[in-house]
Amino acid sequence: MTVAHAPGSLVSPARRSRRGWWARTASDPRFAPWLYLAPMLLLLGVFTYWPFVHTFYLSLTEWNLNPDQPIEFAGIDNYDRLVGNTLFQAASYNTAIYIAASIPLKVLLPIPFAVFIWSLGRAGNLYRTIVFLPTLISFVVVSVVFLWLLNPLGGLIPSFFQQVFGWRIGNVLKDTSTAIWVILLLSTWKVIGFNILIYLAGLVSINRTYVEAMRMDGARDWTVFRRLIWPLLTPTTFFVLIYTVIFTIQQVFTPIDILTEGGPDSTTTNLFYMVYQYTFITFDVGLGAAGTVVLFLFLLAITLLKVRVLDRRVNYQQ
Amino acid sequence: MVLSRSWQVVGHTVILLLCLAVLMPMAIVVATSFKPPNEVFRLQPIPADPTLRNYQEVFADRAFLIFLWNSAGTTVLRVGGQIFFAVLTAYAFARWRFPGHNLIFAAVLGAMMIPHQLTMIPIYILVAELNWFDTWQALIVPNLAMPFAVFLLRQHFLSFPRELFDAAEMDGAGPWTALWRVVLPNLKPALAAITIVLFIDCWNEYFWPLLVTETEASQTIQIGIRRYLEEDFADFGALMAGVTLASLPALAVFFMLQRRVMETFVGSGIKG
Amino acid sequence: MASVSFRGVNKRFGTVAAVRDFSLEIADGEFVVLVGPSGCGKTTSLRILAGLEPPSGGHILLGGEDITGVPSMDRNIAMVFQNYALYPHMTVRENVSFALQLRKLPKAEIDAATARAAAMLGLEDLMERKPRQLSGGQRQRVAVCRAIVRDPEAFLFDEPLSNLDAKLRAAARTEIRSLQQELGVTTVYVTHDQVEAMTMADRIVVMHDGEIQQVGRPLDVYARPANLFVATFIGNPSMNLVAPTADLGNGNAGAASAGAQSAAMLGLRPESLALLGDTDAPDLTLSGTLRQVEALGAETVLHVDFCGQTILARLPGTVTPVVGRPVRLGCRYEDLHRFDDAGRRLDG
Repeated sequence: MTVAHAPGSLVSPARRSRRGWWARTASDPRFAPWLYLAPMLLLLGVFTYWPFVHTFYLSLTEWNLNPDQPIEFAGIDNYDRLVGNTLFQAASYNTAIYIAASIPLKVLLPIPFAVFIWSLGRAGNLYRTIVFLPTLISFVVVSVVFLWLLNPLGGLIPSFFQQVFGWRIGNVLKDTSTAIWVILLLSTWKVIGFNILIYLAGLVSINRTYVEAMRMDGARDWTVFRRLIWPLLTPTTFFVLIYTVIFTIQQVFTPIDILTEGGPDSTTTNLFYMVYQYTFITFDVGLGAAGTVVLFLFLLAITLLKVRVLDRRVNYQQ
Repeated sequence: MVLSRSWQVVGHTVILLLCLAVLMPMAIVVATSFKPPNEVFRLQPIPADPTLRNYQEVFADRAFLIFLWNSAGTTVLRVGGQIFFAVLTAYAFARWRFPGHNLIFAAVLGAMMIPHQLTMIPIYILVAELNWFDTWQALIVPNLAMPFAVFLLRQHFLSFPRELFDAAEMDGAGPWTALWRVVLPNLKPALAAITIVLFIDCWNEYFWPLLVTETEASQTIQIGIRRYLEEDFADFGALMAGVTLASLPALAVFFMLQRRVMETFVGSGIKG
Repeated sequence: MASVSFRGVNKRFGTVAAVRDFSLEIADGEFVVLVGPSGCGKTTSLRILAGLEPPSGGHILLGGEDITGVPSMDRNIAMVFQNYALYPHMTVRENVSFALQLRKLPKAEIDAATARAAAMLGLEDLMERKPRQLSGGQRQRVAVCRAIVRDPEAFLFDEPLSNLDAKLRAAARTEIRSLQQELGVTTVYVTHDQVEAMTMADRIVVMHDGEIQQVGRPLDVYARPANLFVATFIGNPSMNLVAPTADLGNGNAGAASAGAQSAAMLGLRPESLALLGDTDAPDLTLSGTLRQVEALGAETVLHVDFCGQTILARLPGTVTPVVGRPVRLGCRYEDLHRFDDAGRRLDG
């Protein structure tokens, strides 16, 4: 057998590194990870962690965003002003309403939908996709469209009720008793499909043989739901609850800004929108920062709750 | 699981109502965008006299095209940057153990817990100091770090067999070459899904552009739509055409990879 | 091609010493098998040679040159991994030629080298397939092909056959061995399977607890195991160990028992035992009760209850004694392995 033509000497036996200093450093396991991490750490430092800390400092100062004005130290003065402020009180109250109303609308309502879609198996995919669509549409578009649909002068929704039922619908966005509900319904419309999707992800992990076993034991639909699905879905429910609360605080900013600007009579503003108004409308940076810190403490409480719930979730799955 | 007949009837009815509630407004918007001005406030859903006039009007508006251009440009650059930096970070965590590994990973993930609202004031001030006001970089640079993308990518990287790293190294590929020629080509679907989620998130963003944009130099389509409203814009047919066009890119990228994108959305905590 | 040297290599993971004072000289073109139970440090040693793991101490030489600090990708060593580690997104051709592409060789040369290597392993018809379209045996050949294509100075194999079924494994053993002889490349092969070690190696290195137990030609290791670990690890079924105090029979044991008494432990390979008739009088005798018979056709393994322990004897397939009966097993004095208190072999 001719052994000679083993794959010829294609490669010079250069055992010594022929790479340059940079290439050697960039592949040395002692330094390489830091090179790969550096951009992200820099970005997070400059655009997340530093501003986060700096906000606390700003909450103790008085400033009007004018670079020619000095930043004056004001101690807890801003917190004092904040607590006594009627806008803050209204915003806190509304935030509580937003959250309280979100639980039945955005957390509980999706569950039966999700369970039903799940029970359909593959046939449920179309439903799933349709209800998910609002997630893809910007809240600006949603708000603008509904602003037009709800317009008391010729808007399609008032005209519809007028012509079909003979009801007169005034300007629901200018009415202190209805405006917040319009925003709540819109944000429900936007998020319900997303939450259904999260519940579906939770349901998928439920082994269908459990259901079959319960069926063999003679359980009816309702019993299967109450004794099997609901308990197994509890961790997902908590998860949805937490995210919905955070979502409700953040994302309703857009409909508030476009539909009501916090009005009428501060009945739709929330803590986040209040911070925005203080800082960027009235240029009271200290007060805005103080509001941010309060918002942070609020989110922190929820996040701690979330951490506990997620721990439970892990335990549950074992 | 198979529901009993009566539950099925109830279920289909109720969910069809929900689908109707979801699709109705969309259908009205699209239908209106094809209606001539005299039909816009009529209830009848199908345009009696369909026209492309509204779309012509929108495309004739230079500002609208500029908004679209700003949105497209900043979104592509920003998402590209987000993916790039997230890939580097996730790769570092997945490939190497180094001192402080867990602590730094916690710091990156911890940033997910700090919503934009808590950092906006100092970033706004910083942007002003850098003289970036009303520029593309104001929209792009402060948003380049995306910890959730790091988190999702790392999950995928960890599921990647470690022996492949070793094999690539023995074949003469350094970490950089291995990343681009071995790791990423194997994670294309996951990468695509994350890119799409980031794209939709960025395209639909309202709050940050509201703060840092001022003129057509940087205003995005979402701000543009709002501006039409402020200007007491009365041509609703054209507005609906604009709204339709503004929503199309996000819908289009979604339908490219529907299933995976929905899964990725669930993992992201982003809610549009 | 080049010689390989380990000089006092150590590796610690935290407080655990995975490899301790590992020194080994491997000649150019030699086929060396590192064998031992899992966790014995054989794979770690291999990875240190590959450059995938930095040693905690000691030096690695390739062709007489110290490569301890040279990164893996500059070592020009090729490795076949346990799970083959084929790139899933590349075709067989791309997998094989990847290393050459990274070296930016001219395309014609890459194609020629790839074709030659593929021909050696009979992969010509599979070149455009992706790894997931291949069977286990084909994947294994692609992994070997990828290793030989770039003409490395040494081949490393990390349990390359453990994912194959028994039949393929036997074929692959011969194939790898003849390929290695044809190419004449220095090869270090890691396995826990002593059959692979015995059949393929020029020399085997038995490892345990991070330390080398014995280095030698396969038959030498079998015939003269250096200590109790090697004695029981090499050989199947493994060596019987009996205390010298046990009743080792009456035969012409004068000299035998004198030698035996000085040892702390005696070893008898199952295959050196014979079933005795009533009158046979070998050097040593073990009397006991037959508990179980494994008739394998070509051979029969007896489980004999001897002084409270089970002794295995491996006999020709023609022997079929009856379970439950008393039996006598005999062995020659030369076949007795003797070990001291520390488990080291006693010679003489």
